[in-house]
Parts: sequence; C-alpha cells; structure tokens
Amino acid sequence: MARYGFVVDLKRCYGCYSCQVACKAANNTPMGIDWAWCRPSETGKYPSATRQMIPLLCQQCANPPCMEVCPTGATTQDENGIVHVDPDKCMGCKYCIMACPYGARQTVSGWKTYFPDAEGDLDPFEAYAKKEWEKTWGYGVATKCDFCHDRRAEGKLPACVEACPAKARYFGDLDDPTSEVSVLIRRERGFQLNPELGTDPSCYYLPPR
Amino acid sequence: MSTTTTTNEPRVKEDVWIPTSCGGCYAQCGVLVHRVDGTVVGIEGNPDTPAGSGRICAKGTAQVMTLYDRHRINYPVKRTNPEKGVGVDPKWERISWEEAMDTIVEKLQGMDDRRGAYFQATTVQTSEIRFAVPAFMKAFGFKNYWVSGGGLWCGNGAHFMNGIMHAAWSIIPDWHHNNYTLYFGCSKGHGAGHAALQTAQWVADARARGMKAVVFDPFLSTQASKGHEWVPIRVGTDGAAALGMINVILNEVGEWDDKYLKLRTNAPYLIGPDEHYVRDPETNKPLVWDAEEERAKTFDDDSVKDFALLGTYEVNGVTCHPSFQLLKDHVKKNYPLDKVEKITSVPAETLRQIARDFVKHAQIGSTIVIDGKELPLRPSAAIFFRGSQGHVNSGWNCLEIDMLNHIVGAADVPGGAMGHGPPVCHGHPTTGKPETTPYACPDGLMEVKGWVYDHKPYPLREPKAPVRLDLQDMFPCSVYNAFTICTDRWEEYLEDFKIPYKPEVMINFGSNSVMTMANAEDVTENFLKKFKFVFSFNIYQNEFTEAVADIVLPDACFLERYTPCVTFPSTFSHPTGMDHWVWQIRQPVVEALFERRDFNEVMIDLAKRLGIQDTYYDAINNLIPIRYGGEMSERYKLKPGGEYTWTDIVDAVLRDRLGDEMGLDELKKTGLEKWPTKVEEMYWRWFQPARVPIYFEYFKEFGEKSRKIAKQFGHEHIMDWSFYKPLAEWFPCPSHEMEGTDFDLWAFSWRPSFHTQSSTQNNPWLDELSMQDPYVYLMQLNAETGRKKGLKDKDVVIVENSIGRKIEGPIRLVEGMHPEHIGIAGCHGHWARGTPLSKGKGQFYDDLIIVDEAHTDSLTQGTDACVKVKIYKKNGR
Amino acid sequence: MMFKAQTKWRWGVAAYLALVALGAGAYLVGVLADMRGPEWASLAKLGVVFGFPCCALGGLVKLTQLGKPSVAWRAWMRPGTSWIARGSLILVAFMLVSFIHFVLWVWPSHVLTDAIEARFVLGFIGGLCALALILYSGILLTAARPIAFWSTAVLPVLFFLSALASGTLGIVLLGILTGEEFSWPLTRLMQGGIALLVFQGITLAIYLQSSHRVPEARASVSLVLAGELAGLFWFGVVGVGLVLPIVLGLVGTPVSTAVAAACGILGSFFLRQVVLAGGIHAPLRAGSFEVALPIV
Ligand SMILES: Nc1nc2c(c(=O)[nH]1)N[C@H]1C(S)=C(S)[C@@H](COP(=O)(O)OP(=O)(O)OC[C@H]3O[C@@H](n4cnc5c(=O)[nH]c(N)nc54)[C@H](O)[C@@H]3O)O[C@H]1N2
Ligand SMILES: Nc1nc2c(c(=O)[nH]1)N[C@H]1C(S)=C(S)[C@@H](COP(=O)(O)OP(=O)(O)OC[C@H]3O[C@@H](n4cnc5c(=O)[nH]c(N)nc54)[C@H](O)[C@@H]3O)O[C@H]1N2
Ligand code: SF4
Ligand code: SF4
Ligand code: SF4
Ligand code: SF4
Ligand code: SF4
Ligand SMILES: [Mo]
Repeated sequence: MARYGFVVDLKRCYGCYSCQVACKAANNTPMGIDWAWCRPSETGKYPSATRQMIPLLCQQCANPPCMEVCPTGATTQDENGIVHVDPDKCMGCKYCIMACPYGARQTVSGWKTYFPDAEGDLDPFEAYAKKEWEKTWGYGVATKCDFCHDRRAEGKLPACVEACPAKARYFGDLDDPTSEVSVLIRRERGFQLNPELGTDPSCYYLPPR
Repeated sequence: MSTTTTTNEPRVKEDVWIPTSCGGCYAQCGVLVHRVDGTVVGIEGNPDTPAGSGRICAKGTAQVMTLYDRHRINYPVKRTNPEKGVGVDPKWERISWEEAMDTIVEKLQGMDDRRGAYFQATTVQTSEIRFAVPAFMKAFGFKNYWVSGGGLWCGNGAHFMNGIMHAAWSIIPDWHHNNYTLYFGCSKGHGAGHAALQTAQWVADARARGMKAVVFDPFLSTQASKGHEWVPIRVGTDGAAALGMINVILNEVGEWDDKYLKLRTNAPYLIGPDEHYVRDPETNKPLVWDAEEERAKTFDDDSVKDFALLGTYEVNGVTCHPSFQLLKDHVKKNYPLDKVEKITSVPAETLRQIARDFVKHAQIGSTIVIDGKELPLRPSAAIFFRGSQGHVNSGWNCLEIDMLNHIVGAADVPGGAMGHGPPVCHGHPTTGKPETTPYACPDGLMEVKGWVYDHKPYPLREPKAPVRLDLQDMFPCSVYNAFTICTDRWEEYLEDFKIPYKPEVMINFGSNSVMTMANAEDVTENFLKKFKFVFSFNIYQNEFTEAVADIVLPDACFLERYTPCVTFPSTFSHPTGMDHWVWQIRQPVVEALFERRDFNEVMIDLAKRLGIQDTYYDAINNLIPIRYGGEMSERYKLKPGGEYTWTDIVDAVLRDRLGDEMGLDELKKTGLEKWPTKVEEMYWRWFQPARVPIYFEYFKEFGEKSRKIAKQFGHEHIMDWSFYKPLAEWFPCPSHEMEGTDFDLWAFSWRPSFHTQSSTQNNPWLDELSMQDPYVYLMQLNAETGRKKGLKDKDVVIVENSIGRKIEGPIRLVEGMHPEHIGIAGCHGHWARGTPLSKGKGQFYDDLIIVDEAHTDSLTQGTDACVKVKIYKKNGR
Repeated sequence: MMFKAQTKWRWGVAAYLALVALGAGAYLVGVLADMRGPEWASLAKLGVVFGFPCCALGGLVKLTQLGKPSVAWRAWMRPGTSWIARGSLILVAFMLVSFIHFVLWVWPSHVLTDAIEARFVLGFIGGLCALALILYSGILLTAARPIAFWSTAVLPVLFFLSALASGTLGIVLLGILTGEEFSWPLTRLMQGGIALLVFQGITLAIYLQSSHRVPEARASVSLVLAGELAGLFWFGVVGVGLVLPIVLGLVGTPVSTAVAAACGILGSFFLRQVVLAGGIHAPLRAGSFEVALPIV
C-alpha cells in the first residue's frame, strides 16, 4: 500500500489561483465552495517586504483530527492514507470542520446558482454540475478534497496538479523513497504546515526561497 | 402500435474531448474541451501542444462559464434610445438578423465617403481579427482602424522598439539558459505578458535552477515577490535607470561584448559632426574605422580586420567618432548615478551593484554548443513591457532597457533576451511555410519581413500629409494617436490638417474602448459619438456598446467558432527555445448557441450583400502571405465568383500552409500540427547578417520631415521634436514635473493574472476569486504613507487627478508599495447594465488618465498611463 | 493578518449547549440538594423536573442543526474517539435516568417519595450522568484543538460553573413561579446561585486573560471584548448574565429574584454563543509566512 502525498513547491508557485478553479471545475463544487484554496500572505517591512501565495487543500493527515472527532464513522482513512467522507453516513454535525486545522472541509446546504438574477432553468453546464454534485455528495454533509479519487481511478493526475501553470504541485507516494514527491521533500527541505498539531499531514511544502 | 416514439431507446452517451485553442486571453493556449451529451462540462490543458504546455489558467478553466453565461448576448439588438453617452441606457430592442444586416448594408452604402469607415478591435481575440475585417477594409476601401487599448497602453513604444531591435513583437529572457533577469514593469512568466503559461513554467524551472530576477516596479508585484530582489522605482523613470546602468557598464566596469557590438550593431559606424553617418561617397554606405589598417571602410567591407568602437578619426575631411564612443560619452555626461538616483528614487549604490551583476552574469566570451552549433552564451537579460512603456518616454524607455542586452551581446542568443515570438521560421517541413526571417537594409540595419501593423518598425514610415482620422500617417513611428481622436480638439485637427472626409461608420469587434483607452467621457464624447452609425460584434453588452453602439450583433465566442491558426504569426503565444513549432487551430466545441453567429461568416455575408466579395477574396489571398509568411499557391487561392464560407477559407489556408492532405477535417482531429524548431531559428542572431542600431541616426531626419508637415498645417508644436534624436534620452512625464503640488502620489495600474483587461470581470468564477484576493478590488497604498495621511486599512478614499477627475474605493495599507504611489489593479469598476456581476466592483483606473499632446510620447505617440493624484478620505478629510 | 471566526456552530448549537447545561445543572443541583435533607426535597424535585425536558428540547434543537438529521441515529457510532458520540451516549443515558426519576417521583407516580434509598441511588446515577453531560459540553469544544479559544482547560470549568449556576437559578425561578414559599432553602439556593455567578465571573476573567497568550486566541478575545461580539458580550454575558442577576438577587424580593434567575439563565445561553462565535482557527504557518484559514 502506498501513502499518497502531495508537494506544493512555494518557490514555483506564483499565486495564480489556477489550482483553485481547476478543482472547482473538476469536482463541480457549487457557488462559494472550494476544496483548493489559495491564501496570499505578506511579511516584512518596506522596502524588504515580500509576499507569497500559500495554496491549501486537504492535507490527508496521517492522524486526521477530523476522523477522530467524527461521531458517525462517516470519515474514514483508506489504505493509501487518503481521508474520505461517506455522504451516506455523515449527519452533518460539522464537528470535523471545527477540528480540521487546515480549513479543508465545507458543507453545502443547497445548490446556489452563479446566475441568481437570470430567469428560467439553469444553464446546461450548471445543470450538469448540479446533477453530478447531487450524485456524489448531496447536501448537508461534510465534503472535501480526496486527491481527486475519481480522476486517479481513470489513471489521471489530480486536476489541480495538471492545471498548475508553474508545475508547483506534485502528487505521488510518500512511502516510496524514490518517488518524485519523496525526493523533492528530502532534497528541498520539505515541511508540513503546523506540525505541532500532531496531524502529520501528507502534504508537504517546499520553501519559497 | 407502430407509432411508439424512440424515447425508450437508450440514448447514445456522448463523452468526448475536443482539441482546440483557448481564447481567454491572447496567449491562445491549446486546450481539450470535455463535452458530455452536447454540454461542455470542462476545459483542460492539451498536453500535446507546446502552446500552454498542457497547463491551463484560472481564466481558461472558467471560460465554460462564459460560454453559458446567462448575461451573454444571444440575439441582434438595436438601440432605441437616440441619446448616446457614458452610462446611458440604450434601451435595446431585439431585431432579426435580416433587419440587422439590411440596416448595416444601408448605412454602409449610404456613406458620403467610404474612407470615413473605421474598424476597431479588441486585443483579446488577436488571432480572429487578421482576415475578416482587414479584408473587408481593403474591399470596401478604408484605412482607419485600431486595436483598442493596445498601442496606447502596450504597443507604441514596446512593439516598435522590439521590432527594430529583435524583429519581434516582444522580448522575453531565454529562461532555458538565463541566470539573471532585470524586469522593468512587466509580469512576463507571472500570469500576464506573452505565452503566459509556457513562460510560467520556464521561469519556475529557471528559478529552481537558481536564476535570479531583479524587479524594478513601484509595486511588490507577483514577479517582484518571486524575484531575488525588488527594486521600488518611481513610475516612468525606467529609462533613466537603464541609462544610469549603461553608464556604469561603459564607464566604470568597462566591459562589453566587443564582437557583438562590432558585427551586429551600428556601434562602429562613424558619425560626423552633423550627427549623421559618414558615408562612402561612392557607394553611399556608412563607414567604419578599421583600427588595424587605420583607415575608413564601408561597414560591410569583408577586409575590415578590427572595427574601432572608440576614438576620434578624420575621414574625408570631417572629424568623426564611432557611434559607440558617442554613446559612452553621452551617458557619462548626462546620466551620472547621483542624478539618476534623484529621478528614479533608486539608490545609486543599488543601481551600480545591479549593473555590475548584470555584466558579470552575462559571462561575455562564454559559449555553448546546441545541436552541434557553437553559440555565444549570455545568461543575462533585461525585459520590459506595459509598465515601462506607458509613459511620455515610451519608445526611448523601451530602447534604453533593451540596450543593456545589446551592450553585453545578450540578444537572441542562448541565455539572453529573445525576440518573442520567434521572428525566424523556416516553415513546415513539407511546405516550407510559414517562412519568415529578418534581413539587412542597404545601411546594414535589420528589417522584419512581415509585421502585424500596416507599417514596419523599420524603415520608418515616410511622413505624409495625413489622410487618416488619427493623423497617424504624418508621424514616422506612430501606431496609434489617442491624443488626436480622444480630445476635444479632434475636429479642429481634422479641419486644420484638411482631412477630406468625416468619421461615419464604425465597425467594432469586441473592443471596450470606452473603458480600455483612457478617460471614458472624452473617448466617448470626442471620438466615438462622432460616428453616425456604430455596429459592434460582441459577446457581452459592455460600456462601449451601451454608450455608442447602434446595433450589436451576437458573436460566437471562441468555443463556438473556427480560426485557421492561433499560433502564427508567432507574436503572442508561441514557445521560444528548442521545442516545437506548433500550428494550432480553433474549432467549435458546440454549435453556436441561440442566434449567435461567427463574425467571420457575418463579414463574408456583408461583403456579398455589398457586392464586393471578389475584391474581398482577393484581399484574403493577399493577406495570407503577409500574416503567415510565404506565398500562397495558385491552387488554394480564392477564385472570383466563388461562393466561399469561412470554413472553406480555413481549409484553404491549412492545405496551403501545411500540405494538401492537411485540410480542416484532418486538423480537427488533433487540433494542431507540430514540428521541431531548429537552432538557426530560435537562436537566430548570429545566423543572419543584419545589425541593429544603438545610435538612431535616422530619427532626426524623420522628425524633421514630420515637423515640416505639422508646420505646413499650422501645428508646428504638436509634438516635442527634440525627442527625435540619435542618442537615447530620458524625458520626464508631466507627472514628474508636479513636485510641490497637492498631487503627491503617482497612480498606476497592473494586471491580476486571473483577469483579462476589461473582459472577464463578469465571469462568476473569476469574480469569486476577485472577492477573495485582496489585491484586486482594493487599492494598494504604502502603509507608512497611509498612516501619515491618517488613513486606515479599508478606508474608502477619493483619488483625484490634476484636472479634477476622481475615482473612489477602499484602500489597503501594505508594505509592498513605493511610498509615493497608489496601485490600482486591472480595468475594473464596470457600469454596463449588461454585465451585472462586475458592476461597481473594483476601480476604473483609466478614468484618471489624461490624454492630450503633453501626455503623449512625441516619438511614438504612445499615451502616458501614469498620473499624479491626491487622495483623501471620502466624506471629508 | 485577518482572522475570521468559524461560522458553522452558532445560535442553534449555543441553544443546545445552554439547554443541556440547564437541564443537567438543575438536575445535579437537585439531587445534591435532595441528599442534604428532607427540607430540600421540594426544591430537589424541581431540579429533576428540568432534566429530561431541557435535554429533549436541546436534542431537538441540535437535530435542526444537523445537515442531514435523517442519519442522526449514527451519532454514537464512534464513542472511542469522538466527543459528540460520547456526548450523545451520555445525553441518552441522562435523559433515560432523569426521565425515570421524574416519572417515579414527580409524575405520574410518586413511589420514590418514600423509597428514599432508591431515590438516592437513582439520583446518584443520574447525577453522575448530569456531571458527565456538563463536562462533555465543555470538552466537546476543547477537543477542537486548532481553535485555541476553545482548546483550554479553563473552558470546561467555566461551562461547569455556568451550568451549575443556570441550573440553580432554574430551580429558583421555577420555585417562585410554582408558588413555592420563599423558604430558607430557596433563599439559600439563590445565595448559592449568586456565589456561583461570582465564581463564574472570576473564571470568565481568567479564561479571557489566559487566552491572551496565543495570537488567534488573542484575536478571539478582542473580537469578544471590542469586536463584533462586544455588544453581546458586555450586554448579554456580563450585563444580563452576571451583573443584573447578582444585583437583583441581592435585592431579594420574589420578583427581583425571579427576574435575576431568568437573566442568569439567558446569560448562560449568551455565554455559549459568545464562546462559539469567538472560535478562531490557528493560522497556518509556512516559514515566515502566515495565513488565516478561509472562513469555515
Ligand atoms: N486600467 C488599465 N486599463 C488598461 C490596461 C491596464 O493595464 N490597466 N491595459 C491596456 C491594454 S495593454 C490593452 S491591450 C487594452 C485592451 O483593451 P480591449 O481590447 O478593449 O480589451 P477588453 O477590455 O478585454 O475588451 C474586450 C471586449 O471584447 C469582448 N469580447 C471578448 N471575446 C470576444 C469575442 O470572442 N468576440 C467578440 N465580438 N467580443 C469579444 C469582451 O466582452 C470585452 O467587452 O486595455 C488597456 N486598458
Ligand atoms: N492575465 C492576463 N494576461 C494578459 C493580459 C491580461 O489582461 N490578463 N493582457 C495582455 C496584454 S494586452 C498585454 S499588453 C500584456 C501586458 O503584460 P505586462 O506588461 O507584463 O502587464 P502588467 O501586469 O500590466 O505589468 C505591468 C507591471 O508594471 C508595473 N508598473 C507600472 N508602471 C510602471 C513603471 O512606470 N515602471 C515600472 N518599472 N513598473 C511599472 C506594474 O506594477 C506591473 O507590475 O499582458 C497580456 N497578457
Ligand atoms: S496553480 Fe500552481 S502556481 Fe497557481 S496558485 Fe496554484 S499552486 Fe500556485
Ligand atoms: S486536512 Fe483536515 S480534513 Fe484533511 S485529513 Fe487533515 S484534518 Fe482531515
Ligand atoms: S459532519 Fe459528517 S463527517 Fe463531519 S464529523 Fe459530522 S458526521 Fe463526521
Ligand atoms: S487533488 Fe483534486 S480535489 Fe484535491 S484540491 Fe486538487 S483538484 Fe481539488
Ligand atoms: S493563459 Fe490565456 S489562453 Fe492560456 S489558458 Fe489562460 S486564458 Fe486561456
Ligand atoms: Mo495590451
């Protein structure tokens, strides 16, 4: 079994939000819901100030607090370390949202159209997206990134990895020391976000400089 | 019962990926569009093409929301409110295509003088505007056109100078080998600029390799934040900084690429006291000094052993100097670092260090072998674009920055600054087309073969008594003159310059010139409203259509139409370096929805209705070689009397350029054809014999000619003719001469990577991003400056320019901003009724710009896009 | 850095927590009182009255807060790790015991009136459940580790004191409303309630003070003291929930005592809302860069 992991190379990332929108498109998430987030950050004083985008997604923690707090058993971890939510088992208590340190989880109470002022039926794309969303998730439950489980089943890479113009995102097996992600983490001082929380994320970041 | 319907039969599930080209911005990346049961459900990068290298940006992915945007225009409409103007409700009424076409034909046929027709287009759909309308212009008989915003914002100086120095539209570093890049007001490789997605990857690779970028920008822009060093600089002063650094290199470091300057520039050309070349009396060729034989020879004399770059010589009785000596003395005298520091606000020591590093990284003398060919390796580059060019010193700023490259020989060689898109192409292996390569003029200077504008950057246009409505033809380097048409003096100009006709009908494709040129009111009142009839192809109603269009035709968007090629000419989107040439088409992924129609078809239809289709075909036949390089074979030329559709023309272009078998049906399968690039094409500089100027001998003469014409019509002072001089100079903008006034801040604008000019703000996915990203809808002000003014984060302020025009919005106090500046993102603050989502969000920077003679580059007629402002809290100080 | 508080657990969850605290608090105070002697029995009964209905109502309110109430029955599937699962089990157990207690003592049967030992045994079990329930309602939040404002040992203490106070005041209020004599036990109970409020106030101060150490908790505190939540905090939690009941309680007339008790109960509800709405996730750190979480 593998431990699937992710590397975001901050040195390469220039904060274009392509990952965020690619994720939205690939997963048909409704208005206001994103599983990939980009958070701009600034530090330092003029003239030596600097800024950096920090892209976020579910970190697929090895010790996922979201799973620990989940009362229903809806949140599980598969043999590859990916944390899943079963929409049939989730009761929507949102405890996992409180416990997740990375803002990875979202709930959707109902479909909101991006064209609220337009009359008539949804346009064909939104109608499709709504149908797909209802098929996979429905409403009221916790949802999140699963490293594009369905795409990988088709042999593709996660949507955000394929989109990223700067090739700042990598997906692979952390357990395999020869994988691209493992090599990158080792060679380029990869680090996890807020390791003190003890979550042991499977996402690593490479330093901005 | 035999009448049962087929509803019970399982519907054939369709699930396909269609290769085509994105049209979300002018990068035109190759994409795969996912269609399920007739609905587009996703757009992803096409890994088979180097154009975008399989990646996709936020705008590109979000285009599915544009295809189905419920605010799109789906039917032709006509204006029923006779009033025109900014903010006026046109009271659209839906009409049939028949009625729309009848009206347009009637208006065109009823013109007093066909020359009074005018074509205006958007820069977003760059590859779409190359045939249909230019051919129509030719066939119908008019010459007035413009590509909105471009030219005054991004074209006049930059493309002109790049054309002269690199035979190309733009320059980018050769990131495959570059180690050190100076950025002057551009974001190349960071979301905007050319070939956006390929360059994003290259620059990331280069950064990972250790490439250093030093970014001159008043704003801690994305590129500045990713760079190795951010150098805050006052807007509009880039040229002075570059001249200061040239001074350091020539007079302190004393290192330059001797061989390059001697063989590929006019640095050795001897200049006489009249500031002109000293010419050989017999051949009239410019002379150089052979230092070894100690005598003058023509520049192309094979016997020259050593071209002198420095010194004073006597030739044919005149004292003369190699132009290089003049340049060296000029920068020493006029651009000492203490003076440059005062102009730019960049500490002299910083400039000195950067100049030294630039030379050091150029590794003058080093070589590299690529594909068996030994080439100079010069891993330093200085690049620029919209930021440094949008000023009174537009042309010179660009040249001065590029001159850094030429001094160290880092032009179109591995590691250096590369003409982009690649200006040398030997064509497809089977047809040899498209074919293009620069060549030398009799004076030895480089001339491009084909150019996107109707006039090449070199040799300059012969100034003539103007016949164009913007007086363009009386200026030698001008692409577009906003200062004429956009001011209340336009009619005066037309009268004074005796233009024999009036503006009558405007054909607009896309362009939102009310928002993207400069101040909306002036453009509308002084220019657009002067047309009696305006019809516009659009996908959205925008500020332009609502202000002035009489009829708006619903265009198919790029996902609903054909384009024969988006990657040639290789201007905007083509990769550079040892990769592949790619000929990429655009094809519809769904049939045009509602009553939308591809504007190409509509223009052909119009030509037919006007009875000018044969001249139209002829014009197409003539345009193809110009656009794509290489003659058209008789076989595929459009024949008089033929009944061609747009797809017939696309098919003909493809077979003619790529081979008989490569028609549209074939290309639709893969969406593209690619073949490997050659080292002679990519690193072409030393494979062709032409030189480029470091001394602009011909400017003065052309300035004189232009001035004469101006004088003849009573406008001798229309421009500052001192700009027409041979040696690079920095001229201040009016904003630099307002010290000591209340107007204590410079305002300027920059592009967010996930918006395209004024086009994309109504896209709900991108609007959602804009709400999250603190750089887009908020104005950025230096924190200390804000505190001094008693302002807090999120305070709503008024930004007012010196002629009382104001915009307002919330500010954000940041550390990443030069203390004398306020930065305003993109082109936002829409007010069109047709785009409700974008309404009132962000700021409309362009309203602050002032367009008049004083805010115009006298050399290129580019418009000054920087402005001095004062800011104060809304509702009292 | 812009900190944004969590938005998902607000009024509904606060109401649930306050109701559970009231029910369990009153019950616990009731059974403790009962054990002190027969003169307390009538007040103790009132405490028992609160237990089941408050928790049932709280449970119903909680149901409305679920995204998908139809699978609420799964709420106790993972008691090994989840405090909601544990809490759900405790809640059910408490409701069961307090229901039996009520049915056999208050209405319709009175068998426990004389079966004092059985009553005490039942009260002991129920009291343990109530105690567990009260502690759970604090630990529930404490377990959300990335929210520093919640993730502190002071919070369960604060909630515990507040639960006892609101329970005590609940009994007092019900006592006055049901025409209970202004007996000395009731007066004593009210004094106890006031004391609890005072302790609660001190604990609240300690809670806010101790939260000052971590940046995001500091942001929570300033949100509470001076930001968006300041109105609710100063007016609702401090004014209505502490000052008013203490002052009115000291006045000592039946009406003032009744109003004081009602205010104190309302205050416990406000307190929970303030704590919930002040919950801010820790920022994420990448080297010298910090980002706040998107609104969650
Ligand atoms: N503040 C500010 N202003 C700027 C700039 C800046 O940096 N800051 N940059 C300037 C520059 S460099 C430029 S080049 C100009 C560009 O200015 P414009 O060329 O005017 O480009 P857009 O603003 O994108 O407007 C294009 C219009 O075309 C429409 N359109 C898009 N696709 C299609 C299509 O397929 N068919 C048709 N018929 N219409 C379509 C869109 O709806 C939009 O309304 O803006 C300039 N303005
Ligand atoms: N995403 C996206 N890509 C685009 C476009 C788009 O709208 N969106 N438009 C396309 C078009 S038409 C063009 S012309 C190109 C433009 O491409 P760029 O020129 O790269 O575009 P900008 O991002 O506007 O870059 C201008 C930079 O110059 C800085 N700047 C402004 N004034 C000055 C100055 O006086 N001196 C210096 N040193 N810096 C200054 C600004 O802060 C900003 O960082 O992009 C093209 N690509
Ligand atoms: S797509 Fe890549 S470069 Fe863009 S924000 Fe995401 S990680 Fe960064
Ligand atoms: S990031 Fe959050 S949702 Fe993802 S596994 Fe970790 S705790 Fe769970
Ligand atoms: S919302 Fe669903 S997944 Fe999250 S803790 Fe509750 S039951 Fe588990
Ligand atoms: S891996 Fe897939 S689901 Fe996760 S952030 Fe990327 S695109 Fe979204
Ligand atoms: S860079 Fe431009 S052409 Fe390329 S995907 Fe983005 S919007 Fe489309
Ligand atoms: Mo442009």
